[in-house]
Amino acid sequence: MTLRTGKFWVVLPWVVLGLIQLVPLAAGAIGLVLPLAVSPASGPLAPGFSGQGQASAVQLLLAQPGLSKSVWLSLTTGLFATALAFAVVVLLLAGWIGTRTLGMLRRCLGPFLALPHAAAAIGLTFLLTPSGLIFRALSPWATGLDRAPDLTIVQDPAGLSLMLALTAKEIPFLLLMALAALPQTRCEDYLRTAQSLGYGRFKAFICLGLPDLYPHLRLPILAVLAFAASNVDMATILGPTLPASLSVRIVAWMNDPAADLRTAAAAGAGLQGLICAVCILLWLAGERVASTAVKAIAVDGARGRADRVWKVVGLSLTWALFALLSGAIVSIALWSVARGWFFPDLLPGSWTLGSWRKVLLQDTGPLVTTVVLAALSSGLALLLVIWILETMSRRQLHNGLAPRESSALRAMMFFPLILPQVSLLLGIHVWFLILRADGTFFGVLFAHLIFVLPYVYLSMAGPWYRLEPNLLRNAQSLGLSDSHSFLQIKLPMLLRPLLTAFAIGFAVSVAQYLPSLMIGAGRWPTLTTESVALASGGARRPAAVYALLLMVLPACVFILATLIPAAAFRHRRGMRHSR
Amino acid sequence: MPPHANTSSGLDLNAVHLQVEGKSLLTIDHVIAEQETLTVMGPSGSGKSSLLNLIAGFLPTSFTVTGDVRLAGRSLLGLPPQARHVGILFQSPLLFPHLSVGENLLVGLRSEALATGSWKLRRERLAARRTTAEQALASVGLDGFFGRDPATLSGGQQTRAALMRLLLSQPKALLLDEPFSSLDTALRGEIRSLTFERAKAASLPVLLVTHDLEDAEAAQGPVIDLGR
Amino acid sequence: MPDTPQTNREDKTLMTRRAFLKTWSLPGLGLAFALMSSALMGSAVHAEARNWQEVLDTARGQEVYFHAWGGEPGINAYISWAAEKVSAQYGVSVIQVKVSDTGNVVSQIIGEKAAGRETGGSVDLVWINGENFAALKRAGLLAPPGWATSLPNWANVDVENKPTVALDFTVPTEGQEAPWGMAQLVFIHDSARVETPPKTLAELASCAARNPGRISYPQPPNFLGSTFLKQVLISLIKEPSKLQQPVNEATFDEDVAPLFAYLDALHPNLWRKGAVFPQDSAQMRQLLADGELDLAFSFNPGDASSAIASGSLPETVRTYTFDGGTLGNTHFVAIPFNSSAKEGAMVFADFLMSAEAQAHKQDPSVWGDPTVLNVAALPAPQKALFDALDLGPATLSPDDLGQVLPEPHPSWVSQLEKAWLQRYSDS
Repeated sequence: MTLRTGKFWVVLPWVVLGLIQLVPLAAGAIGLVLPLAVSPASGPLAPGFSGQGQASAVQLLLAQPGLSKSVWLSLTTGLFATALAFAVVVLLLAGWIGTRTLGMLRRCLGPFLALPHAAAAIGLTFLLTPSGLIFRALSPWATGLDRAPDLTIVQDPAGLSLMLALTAKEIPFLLLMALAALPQTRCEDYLRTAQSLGYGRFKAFICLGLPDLYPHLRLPILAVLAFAASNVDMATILGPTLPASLSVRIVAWMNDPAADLRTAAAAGAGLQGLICAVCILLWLAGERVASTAVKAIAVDGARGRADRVWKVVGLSLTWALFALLSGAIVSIALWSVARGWFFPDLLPGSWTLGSWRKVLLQDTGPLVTTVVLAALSSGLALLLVIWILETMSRRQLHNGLAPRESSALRAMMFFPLILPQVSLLLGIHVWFLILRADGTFFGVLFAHLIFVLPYVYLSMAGPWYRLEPNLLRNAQSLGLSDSHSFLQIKLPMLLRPLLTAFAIGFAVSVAQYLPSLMIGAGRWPTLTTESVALASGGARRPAAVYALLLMVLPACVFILATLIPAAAFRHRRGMRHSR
Repeated sequence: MPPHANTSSGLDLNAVHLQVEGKSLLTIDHVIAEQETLTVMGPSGSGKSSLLNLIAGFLPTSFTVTGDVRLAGRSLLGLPPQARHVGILFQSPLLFPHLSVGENLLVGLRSEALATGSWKLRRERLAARRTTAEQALASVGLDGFFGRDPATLSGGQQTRAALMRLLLSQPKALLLDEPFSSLDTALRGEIRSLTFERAKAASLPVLLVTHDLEDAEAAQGPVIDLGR
Repeated sequence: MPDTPQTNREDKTLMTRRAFLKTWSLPGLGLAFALMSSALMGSAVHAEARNWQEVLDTARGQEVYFHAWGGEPGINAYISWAAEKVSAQYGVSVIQVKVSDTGNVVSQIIGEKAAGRETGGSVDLVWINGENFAALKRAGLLAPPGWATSLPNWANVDVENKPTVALDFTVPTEGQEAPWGMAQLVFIHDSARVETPPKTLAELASCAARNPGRISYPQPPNFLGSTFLKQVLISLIKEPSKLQQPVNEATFDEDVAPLFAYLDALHPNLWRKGAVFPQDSAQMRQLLADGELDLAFSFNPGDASSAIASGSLPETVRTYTFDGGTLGNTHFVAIPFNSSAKEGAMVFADFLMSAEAQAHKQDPSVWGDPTVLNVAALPAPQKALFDALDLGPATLSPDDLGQVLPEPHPSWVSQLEKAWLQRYSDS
């Protein structure tokens, strides 16, 4: 009997996890194929219109003007932004591992991590356009301009501004992932060994340290890659428009009243999946080449010089990009309270709190929806993650093993992150329509959970498995039951990572754009959907308020996540540093 | 204790004093001559590792250092680790896991710049380097191990490979951070004597940090006990 | 109507409409049909004895999800104001679902039809006109005809002088959508910067050539961008009468050749050399404020005054239209076939047509959108509401707005957008 219930509790979390992670995957795939398989006129996406010439979905897609450009844009943005971000992180780590500077950078990451992509894009537009903050700061005294120049900076046809923004935004994420993975690797030991053999920091790190660290970074990098190649909210604001990158056009086609374009959207979602797959394959091929090259260079005996130059380059690049993001934040803050603000005035000529009043006092729907969605999805994800981790660890402990992370679970968690969101959601959306769950709050919550859960898991798994297994064995031998040891030892010891994981989940949910947009059917506007809608038009002031809230909300939660354990453990020195 | 004046060879720990957070950690004043092994003993927390980190160049900036560390007459303290020519063997052999055993030795092996010269010359040099590495492996009983994955080696074999990798990098001093502690008692003596023998052959000053008395005795040199 | 973006479509979906409209394509006939059918349907509704009081009773307590383009804070605020009014007066709660693209809503309704959701739909009322309306009407996805003309306030609508209230882009409304506001393409310029703005297409081109990088137009298929294409086409096409009829595929390329010749010459002198276009009128206005553009377009003659009132444009901006007139139309609200709150939606639609709501809407500090009512014929107290309005420094009087050019048949829009996209995104 006890065995049975025991088994039940072991199996249940996997079932729930499967429901959240795998079923949408399968459903998404079927939902995507369905409209392709049946003729456009009778498919679930395209009723009512009796069409002549029943072109297949793929033909319809291929007939779209500028398609090849859109595809090329998606590919190049994805690959270049990822490669650039990775390169900067590598330079930074190579130059500064083990130094105070890196520790300082790490402490600065918080705000940039909490800054949602949409908010970053909005802020960067405010900052970089020819009439933006940078040109205002330099005009007319340095540039001689009393009118904004006609320069293509944002929304440039090659997508460079989009790549720059993605790069700046992904560096903090990759850096955090790298810093979190470092203690689990022997990278720093190898680095010291290499240095004592006479190698400079850069050759030592890239040829001899990085190969140990890289496997821990692979999945986050692939997630960044898929994200950069298929992102919609940033591309809507910063990306080219003639034509836009594929993902943006898929969303536009999906929202087109013409049945054939909706069918083309389904085919486009398939194509987007293909693009991400190609990006990933190219990246993996690049890995192979790089790894061979790195080995060849590693054994050539040359010790590597020019350390100082690269150190400065890596750090200045990072600071420059962080400065860009900070400037974006400042621009957002200024626009949120600006009334009349005309070029080349550096500061608004008149101020108003009107937009704030509207968002905080009158039109509070999006704010409330955002907070409730974020709290619920992150809370649920946290419960589920702990449940899974605890059942797995218990089983391992009872079998006499030290708890170890299951790599299958980890890979599974990365699934929704490596697939293009627009494709996955388009597939799921069909099912939500059939089940009449689109436009419901729980539908949106579920869609958020799909993407929040992986991040909560990833931030929780590390600290969980770093808990000293002997401590738990000790607790066992002291006669504490599993539940007691869980409640009285593990949870308090993990208070800090638990709260951090919650804050990360919260931030991820706040930043979600497509799940709210596509599954919410417009009924659950959030800060993100509102800010993107406003910013892609020209309504700067309200867009700025929303964008700032997008940043402030997660930041508040992060601050709470730091303050609570600090207060709880103020008399426990051993608990002061996050484990 | 030998005098400090104008010691142009050996590793000179000249009135070294280490402090952390205002707390005095250790004071040491000693010249380790070539072919001599100084053993520093002490319980954990006594600053043994900090001393090694100071000499190798890995000491965190939170430490305050007075005195000087000189190797062959040159002060080390301002130099980056890679410019110090101080080889260090850690508790674990730390063979690079993505390279073969032989390639690990190639990493250690110093040579002139390979980038220049014709393709043929380059290939010849590469072949010469490989031969050197193979010979080094053979000299410690690891013939035919060039292509092996380091993870498939026993602890003793790994330590031997790590030692040879270190020696091929032509260090001017050798630091031993309890490199034998992880080995079986049976193996320990063998590897220990191999290490000392090789260090002596290369005329290196050696600083051994350990809390194993046997290590200290085998080193046959002066012993400083920080615990006392 | 501000930027309810249109979308391009393949011609095959036009086939059914084309067949249908062959009979009714002449504007006069269409109008006659619209009026006739609306009168008929109206009486049919009365015959069913669904009197207004009954509608009001049923509507009380209903929640109306009003899907409306939400890109303009002023308009959103106006909708909130109207929602509060109907909540207080009729107990109907209206929730605005802000959409970035009315096409979304259309596809949502199509999706619901596909999923077999015949009742309990998620859209109760939608802000719509032109192609989106035509698409829903064609597919039979709207509430049955006649409801709009049965509303009490329909009596005050200026059907005679504003024919577009019953003829939406040449498509008869048949009482399936209630008129909400009037729109006419106007241009906004900063008089402090440009004293004499271009008033003809030729002047526009030479102005751009003299001063490159300061002129642009919203990117089709944005509503306003497509309107600009149509405006140019109307002025340049050899046989303007063709525009009142569905596109003739055989002669389309030839018909639009003058338009693209004009654009080809214009583009190198445009803002960002024609490589980037503003996305909508709000962005254009912002670019005018930023001093990047010399000219902003709007479909709302009161836009500039509203923007001055809110501080987002300098006080020196002024509105004007082209010599020879500009395109104009009406925007509406429509009820989908599966609306969950038809009565509540009708009550709200009726309120939007009331003198109180229309006058408030026309106030430039609120929205500045012109009324669909015949103000002169209103009872004195209601007329007074309009007389009291200060239309602001930058709003043109109805006389100054000049001639209103009728919209071409909707099939032109999609074809134009497609041709434009093909030409300028593949290059």
